Amino acid sequence: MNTLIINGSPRGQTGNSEIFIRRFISGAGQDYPVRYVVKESAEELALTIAQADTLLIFMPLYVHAMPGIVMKLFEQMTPAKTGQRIGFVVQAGFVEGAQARFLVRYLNAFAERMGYENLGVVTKGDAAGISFLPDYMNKKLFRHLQALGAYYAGYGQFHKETAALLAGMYEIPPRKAKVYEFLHRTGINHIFWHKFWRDNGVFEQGLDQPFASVISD
Amino acid sequence: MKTVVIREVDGIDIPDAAFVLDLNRREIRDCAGCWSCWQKTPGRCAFKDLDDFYTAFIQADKAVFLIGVSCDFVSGRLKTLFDRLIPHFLPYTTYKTGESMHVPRYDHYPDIEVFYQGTFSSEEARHLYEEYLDRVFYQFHIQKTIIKPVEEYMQGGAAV
Repeated sequence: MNTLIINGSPRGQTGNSEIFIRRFISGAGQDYPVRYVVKESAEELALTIAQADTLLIFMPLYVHAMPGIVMKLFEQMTPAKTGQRIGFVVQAGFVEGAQARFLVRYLNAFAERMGYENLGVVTKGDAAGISFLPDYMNKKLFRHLQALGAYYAGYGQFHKETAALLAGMYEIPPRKAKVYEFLHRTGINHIFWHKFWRDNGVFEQGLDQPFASVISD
Repeated sequence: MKTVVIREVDGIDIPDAAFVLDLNRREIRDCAGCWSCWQKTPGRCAFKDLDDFYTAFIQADKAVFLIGVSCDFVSGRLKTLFDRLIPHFLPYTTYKTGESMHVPRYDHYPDIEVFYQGTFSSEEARHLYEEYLDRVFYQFHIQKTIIKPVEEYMQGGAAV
């Protein structure tokens, strides 16, 4: 029973999906091969995929769904062979899991329609900053990802409790949303972006509207 | 009234289109996830292949999407176009509506009409397709969104 990991991130080996994959693999203690959607033609990758016993597709959430390049891969995939299995791990920038609800529904339906045995969709929100944060701040996340990998290596499934820990909150509780909105209004949570703008010499241009009409109305 | 058309389905004319982005004839580069549009060149994508479309889209009153259905979802190339609309929104997050939303970069975005052509494997798949599109345009701060099968456009259902 072989497992093939697919990295669906447009950022390939430099993105957060890669960090998820490396932690998952280290927890599994297995040297699962990893293929990158961004590096290969969708047609060729679909042929490789057809040979795997189990596919684990890791991807970021882009505009409430899979990145365009992953949808282009799906368009090339053929129905599963008997007993072929698929599972998904989705990491997203926004904090609440509900942001991925359309993608979760789609992936489960896609797995079923293509005839795969479905291991399910693991989601993790609030993941945009992982590659910027020092490792100690990602400690809990890494521990959960390693646990997910270890359980998968042992039982061939996603561990439900670990998946729930990764999923975190599904919706933002109203009181929390008010606090977050207050932080947005005060500009406290813009500091991160202002630093990028300053470092890139575009601090004054951060809010630019480059494609707006030159004639103001 | 300036109208922009994003076309994936042939054979339907939008007579007064100021700009047509034909996804069948024009290849669009996939979003690289590089965040240049947020960090380095605010509002501008690192790829320049959509700049003419961006100008037309942002300055339009209405954008009409004539699109297909692919594997029960939007096609990969339309999804790529959605990914590449992100430069038109700020990296800031607002929670005003009780959920995470990008903050608009512009004061105005066009109204959206979507007319889709294609078949689904189930009614549930059709619902997901429509609900997904509706959510995308909500996230993109579109004031008015219409999503209908293309047959309804043919019957004059496009009147907003």
